[in-house]
Amino acid sequence: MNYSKFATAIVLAAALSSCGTRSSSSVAAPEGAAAPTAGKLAKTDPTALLVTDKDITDRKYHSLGDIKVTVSKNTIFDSDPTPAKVDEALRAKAAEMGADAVILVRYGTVGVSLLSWGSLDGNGRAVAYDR
Amino acid sequence: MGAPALPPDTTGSTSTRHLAAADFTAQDQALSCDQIGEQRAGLHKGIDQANANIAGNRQNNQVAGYFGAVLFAPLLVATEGNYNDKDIIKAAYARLDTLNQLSVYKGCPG
Repeated sequence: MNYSKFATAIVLAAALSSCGTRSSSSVAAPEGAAAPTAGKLAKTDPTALLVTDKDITDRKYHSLGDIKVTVSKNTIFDSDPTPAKVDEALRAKAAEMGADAVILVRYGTVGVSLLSWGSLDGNGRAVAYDR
Repeated sequence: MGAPALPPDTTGSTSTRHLAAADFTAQDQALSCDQIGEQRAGLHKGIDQANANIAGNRQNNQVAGYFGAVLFAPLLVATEGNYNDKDIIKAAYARLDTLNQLSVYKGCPG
């Protein structure tokens, strides 16, 4: 292998390792709320969706479901999943549900799981504004 | 450590139970919106510091975990659990939940 091929391989490996994550998600009915209407609302734009660790105090909303996501890195050489990646996964799932925001977002800590050398959990409540 | 569980829904329009003064201690009820914000900021600092401590041990844990799993199991005891930091994070999120509810109860902005 000549030098340029070796350098290309290194660059490719670095590029691949920087984005080597996958995510999974699940939704549960929020405790203490009436049955959610998830699935009945039109999808929303994930980029316009608010993701916050706080509650919403300035307008009324109803809960659609509590989302749990897990972002895992594919190999031990990939970079660890970050809260930003968790936000991205929460946003994508909430948009599918027709949510306007994900509130009360919280994160676990990166650790080894059964299927990954690095996983990070996140929880958040998908909500839609009352109209 | 997995993400802490979400609190019951007490603030949405479809929640079956709404917040009352009795849900908060007298000390908490006396907090102003600014003070709630300050406490929140302090808790976030604590969470960030605990996460930084955990991240600081992460590389060593991965190396010990890898060689422990593949070559020599006793190396697994070389991993650091950061249990104190994880307890700090759990407690901080529990307090943040109370402050979030108090913030809604008091009608604080943002």
